[in-house]
Amino acid sequence: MMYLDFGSGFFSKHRSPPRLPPKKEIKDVVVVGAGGVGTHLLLPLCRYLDSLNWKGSLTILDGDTYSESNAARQHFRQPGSNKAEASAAFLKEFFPTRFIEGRGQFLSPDNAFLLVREGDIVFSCVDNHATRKTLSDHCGTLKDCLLISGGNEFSDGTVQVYIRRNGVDKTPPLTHLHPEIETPQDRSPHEMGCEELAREGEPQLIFANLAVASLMLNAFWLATRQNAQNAPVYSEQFFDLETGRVRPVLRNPPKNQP
Amino acid sequence: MNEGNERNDGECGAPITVTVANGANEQEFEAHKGESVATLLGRIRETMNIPDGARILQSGNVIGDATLLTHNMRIEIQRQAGVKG
Repeated sequence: MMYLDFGSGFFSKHRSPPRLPPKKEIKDVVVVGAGGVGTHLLLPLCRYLDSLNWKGSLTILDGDTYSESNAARQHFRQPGSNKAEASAAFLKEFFPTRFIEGRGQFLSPDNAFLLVREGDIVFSCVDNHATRKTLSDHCGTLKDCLLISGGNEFSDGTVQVYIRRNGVDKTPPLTHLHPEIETPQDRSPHEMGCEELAREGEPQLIFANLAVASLMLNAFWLATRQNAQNAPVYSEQFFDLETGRVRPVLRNPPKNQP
Repeated sequence: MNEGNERNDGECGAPITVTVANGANEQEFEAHKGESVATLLGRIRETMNIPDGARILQSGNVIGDATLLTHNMRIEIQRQAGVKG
């Protein structure tokens, strides 16, 4: 059988060894935020999906534009270009046969139902808890959804995995035990003015962004692989670059659901 | 010297071991039977970088800091999610 015949030139014809196909077909993928985390997540995500001969669509959402200050952590060619559109154009060069779209808009409670739909796999790479809450609340209205959310401080961070199957939470929503997301003190970018958006943020470490992206992709692989159970082996993961530690936590969903 | 769970049967003040997880980090601490969570956290707050007012969890459930420590107890400081991206 040719597919298993590693001795007859399999690796000379394919760039990577065969992988187990995912448990369920990966349809549409939405990446919200194409900044420090998104920029590191998108290329390996597309390469992995491409290796599965994936037929779905990838939508990248970000209303922000690149500025010179982003150059220390993010890949871009033209300052002033929209992050989502530029990322999509960059990825299409590598994967011209895949449907990849960049939309220069922020996700908000008003457009979430249009942008994130039933069965989607969503990567939240945003830089504010207000948008995380919007995404979590919206995914909680869907029957089936996989939401993987990442965020970092300077040298540590978190990844959360929210899985809904058949209208039931398999892991807790992002807001569970996280009052900072349940009642965010920050604002979503769609609520900010231009000056506020352009204001410099606190310094970030590119390796923290990279760690978040890597752990998010690992969660995606775990949640979609062929022998996956209904939920991955964790619902939340903490990492600390200072101590080199990663700690996974599996929490049960709140009981007050149907 | 008592070992294992036998230590739990000791009198108030008997030495016990408690594991504290905070974010990615986890460490065992010596404590004393009858001490409260608040007493232990007060001692290790700086070492473990525990923020004031942090939620304390045991087996995924929120507990109060007046909860008494038991031998081999495992408590978790619920860290806020990273905000930047």
